[in-house]
Parts: sequence; structure tokens; C-alpha cells
Amino acid sequence: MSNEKYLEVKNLTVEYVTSEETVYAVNDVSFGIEKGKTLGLVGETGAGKTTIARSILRILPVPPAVVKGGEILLNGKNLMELPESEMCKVRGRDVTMIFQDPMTALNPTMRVGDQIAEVILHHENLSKKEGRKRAEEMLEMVGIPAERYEEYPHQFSGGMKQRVVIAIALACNPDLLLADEPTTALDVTIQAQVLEMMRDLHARKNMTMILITHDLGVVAEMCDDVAIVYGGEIVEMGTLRDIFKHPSHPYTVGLFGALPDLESDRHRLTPIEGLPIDPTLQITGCKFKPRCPYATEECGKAAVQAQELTPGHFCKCLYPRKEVR
Amino acid sequence: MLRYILKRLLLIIPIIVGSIILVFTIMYFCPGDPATMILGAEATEEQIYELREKMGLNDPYIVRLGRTLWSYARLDLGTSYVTGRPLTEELALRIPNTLRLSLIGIVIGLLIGIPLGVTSAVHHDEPIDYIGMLIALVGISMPGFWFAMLMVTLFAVKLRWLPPFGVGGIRYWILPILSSCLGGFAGNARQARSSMLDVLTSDYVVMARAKGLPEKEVIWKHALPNAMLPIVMMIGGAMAMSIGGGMIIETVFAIPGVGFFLADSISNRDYIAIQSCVVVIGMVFTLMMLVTDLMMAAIDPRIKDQFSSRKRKKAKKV
Repeated sequence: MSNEKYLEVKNLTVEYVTSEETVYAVNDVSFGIEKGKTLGLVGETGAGKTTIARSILRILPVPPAVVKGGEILLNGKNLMELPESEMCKVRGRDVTMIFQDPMTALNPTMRVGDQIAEVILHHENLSKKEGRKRAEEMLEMVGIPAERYEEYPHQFSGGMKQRVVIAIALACNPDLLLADEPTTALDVTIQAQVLEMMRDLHARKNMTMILITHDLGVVAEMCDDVAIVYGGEIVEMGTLRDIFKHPSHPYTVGLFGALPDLESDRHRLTPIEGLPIDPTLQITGCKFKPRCPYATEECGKAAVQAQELTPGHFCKCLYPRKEVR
Repeated sequence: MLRYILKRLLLIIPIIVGSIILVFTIMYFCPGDPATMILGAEATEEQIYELREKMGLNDPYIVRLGRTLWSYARLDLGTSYVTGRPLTEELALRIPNTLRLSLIGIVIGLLIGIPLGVTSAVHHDEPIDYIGMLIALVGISMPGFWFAMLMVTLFAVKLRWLPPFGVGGIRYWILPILSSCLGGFAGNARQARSSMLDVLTSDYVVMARAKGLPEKEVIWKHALPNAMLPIVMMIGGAMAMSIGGGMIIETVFAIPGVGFFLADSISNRDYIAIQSCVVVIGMVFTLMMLVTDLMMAAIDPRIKDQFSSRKRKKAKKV
């Protein structure tokens, strides 16, 4: 991999510690993105995708979240070591986030336009009037008439709320956008609109983007690189082509097996057997072993190291598959 | 909005009429005869009968009820059996004292209670939280009148800094107001803490942080307005409580307010005075509830929308 990564996450480990149990949410995750690229973080619910994104912004709920270690380098600057006041300047300006659930992401007691203007006024030295003007422009950009500035979130539909959330995220022209399942809470037609809009904006602004999703279709449309997350670890990572043409980790293969295929006559999909691992257990060796059809004794003995199959294509498996889709 | 307020004010009329009928009926069935009480135990049958006739007590229930309602409609609350003075006048003198005591008590209770609760919520599970909640627990567990008596013993009797009872300058109000805000502040603190804790984990608060806002702004600008709703709802109840329940504090400090007057009337069996007090307290109560609802509408646009007329709402959705 090349050295000019815009964002680099190194050995990130996050746990949620309560008096009853410890949840090992993110375990030694490392990845990087080049400027202007889009990385897809794909995995099941509870795999730790959102935790990874929130750790980058340092907005994890503390307690119970504890960042056990790791570095997050943004343009070579370690965000983990920044004082809170500096971090406040990064959030919302350099790095922003689109939240998963538009229904709850907006403050119900504040006017929609003010919620956009707020982030602009906070980061840029503008008068209130200019801030309002910029916020109105942002509303227009995401396809909402500027006259609706004065309205409150409950007067907006779900898709429009998500547009507002996107407008807030893009208001200060961020360099890095963390999109946490931006379309999961929306219905299919609105999903298509929102994705179309995001792709358009992404192309225009040359942003770097991390797209968190469990929808491989969305990944295929939007991403340059893909990282597959399972049990708080990245089990496979590579370019879109690497992952879609040569899925190597049995879990990735399983994910594709569970996708409906319009061209074949199969009526049943092939599910991945078993359930996602209990994140409160500390497991040595491969976390996918209990569900893996190819597992051997060897898999449970020691932590599996990532191996580079082809340049840039990493896989955390002792027996990577070699099929071509 | 104005239409809504007018509508609510008009709705108060049936509530008042209902409460008058209710109180009147209860009083009607109560044992004890005002005429006997006014004339004393030595009065003859004849004298009593004559007075009853004069006061209209021999008339049937429905006639007396009608007469009562009519006189209330003319803002005439009747004449006290005991003092012989018009009750409208008596109450007009006392209501300001009661309102002063309860409103100042509530405002102080809010000004101390909310910051205490918010601080506790923000420092959840830290020593500050434990100390704050211990104070609130003590406050909520201690009966107001007992606290009042302790304070009188300390500040009025032992230290002689403040007068023990009566009305006069500001010095006379310090102890009563302190005792009346005690329960309110503790309740507010606990409510503020629990609703803040709820709100602090909500998505829009995380979002506010993700915007890069400093924590102070996140808490006071984004979290608190949303946490205020249950607090305001509680204030309405607290206002009503302290007006009715001001009775105890007013009695302890001998403050001529509605509560004290009510207590006095009860012990004198001054039925008509009791009736007037209850109706007036009921009226203040409904007004307080209206004020609470308006405050909620001011905080939450969703509630405000329900208040504004249907037509406008429909027009907006299009």
C-alpha cells in the first residue's frame, strides 16, 4: 500500500466496560484511505462499524466506552492525542459524520435551518446573516426549498431529515465524511435518491469518505476500497474489484452467498450458518471459526495474522478461498 | 395561539362551575348547622329557625345551589359566618400573600434545582453526582413544615437573626420561602437529572458533539431544552401543590394567606368560607395548568403545532 494515506487507523482497540461485562467492540483494527477515495466498511449489525467511525471523531460515549489503544492519523496528525479544544475544531469541519437514524439525529426543539447554520457559524468567522444564507444554500443543495429554513424536524419526512443531516455534514466542506449507514433507515426509492446525491456531492467536492453499510449493493455503487468487518476485526480488505471478484475470507464468501442473484434460478439463498459471535467473549484465534465450513484445529490456536494475497488485498484467514466470482 | 389561549380560558368556566357544585354538595351533606354555630349553644329553637330562614338555609338544595352559583357569577363569594365580613374582600387580601410565597418558592426551586440536576447528570456516577443526589434526597424526604420548624428554632429562636412568624419586610419572608422551595428544588433536581441522562445519550446530542460544539453548548443549548419538558410538566403540579399545600407553611409562619385562612375556616366550621377557598384554589390551579401548557408549547414546537388551528397545520404539510 502506498504511503500517502489521508486517514490511517492503526491498531484501534475499543471496549465497552460496564460493571457486569466487557464488550470487545473493536479489536486491533488498522486501515487507511487515500485522499478522495471511498472506503466501504461492511459487516453485520454489532460488528463494530459504528464504533470505529465514532472513535475517529472521538464521540464515543465515555463511559462505558474505553479506547484501549491505537492511533488515528488524519493527514499525519494523531487525533487521539489532540486536546479536546483542538478536537472541537476538527469535528464538523475537517471530519463530519452522517448519522444512521435521521429520525433521531436532529434536535426536535430547534429549527432545521438553525441546526445547519450552527455548524457553519461555529467553524467559520461569519455573521449570523451570512451563516443563514449559507445554510439556505445548503438546504437548496440537498434539494429542500430554502423557505423551509424556519421549520422544525417534525414537519419533515424521513428522507428530508436525512438530507438535512447530510447538509449539516457537508456544510463546512469536510475533507473526510463518515457516512454511518446513511440509507438504512430510508425506504428503497429514497435510498436511491440519497445515494445519487451523495455520489454527486462526493465527486464535486473531492472528499474522502468512509461508507458504513451492510448493503453490498450500495458498496458496489459507491466504493473504491472495501473492508469487511466481523467481530470487531477487519477480516478482509482490498479494492472493490479484489473483494467482489476474489472474495477470499470464508465470511466474505458467505456474505456474497447470501445475496440474491437475478441471473440464476436458485430459489433459496445460502445463509451463513450460526449466529454472530458474542462480543463479550475473548476468543483466541479466528473469530469466524465456529461458523466456518473450512475451519481446522489450527484456526483456534493463535491470532490469525493478515496476509497479503495480491498487492493491497489483505485477508485474515489461514485458508483463503481462491474462487473467482 | 391566541385562539387556543382564549379557548382554554373559556374552558375554565365549566371547570369552576363543576367545582362549585361539587364543593357545595359536599358541604350540603356535611353535618353541623351554621345557624346554630353563629347563635351559640344557648339559642332557642325559634331563634335558630328564624336565622335559618333569613339565611335561606331552609330552601331546597337546588334553590340554594342556584343562588350560590348566581352570587359567584357576580363575583360575590358570600359572607363569612364567623367574621361577618364579605369573603371576596377577605380572599382578595390573602391571595397576594399566597401567590408571593408559592411563586417565589417555585422560581428559587427551579434556579437551584435544575443546575443541580444537570450537574449531577453531566457528572453521572462521579462524586459530584452522589453529593447532589444526596442533597436532593434529603430535601425530598424532609417534610416542609418540619424543616420550617427547625429553621425557626435555629434562626429565630437561637440566633435571633430573623423573625419567627408574621408578615412585614423581606426579613419575614426568608424562612417561609426557604421552607416552601425545599420540596420543589429537590424534586426539580431529581427530575432534571433523570431527564438529562435520557437526553444526553440521544442521537442529536451526539450529533451536536460531532458538529464540534464545545460540551457546554451541547448541554445548555441542545440537551437542556429537550430535558425541560418533563421538568415543566412537573412545575405545573408543583405550583398547584404549593398553593394548596402552602396551608401548612402559612400556618407555621402565621402568614395571612389562602391556606391559613382555609385552615382557620375549617376549625371554625365556617362552611361558606371553606367553599370559597376551595373554589379559588381550584381556579388558580386551572390557570397554573394553562400556564404550564403554554410553557411547554414555547419549548417544544411539536406541542405548539397541536395548539395552532388545524387549517394551518394542513397547509404546512403540503
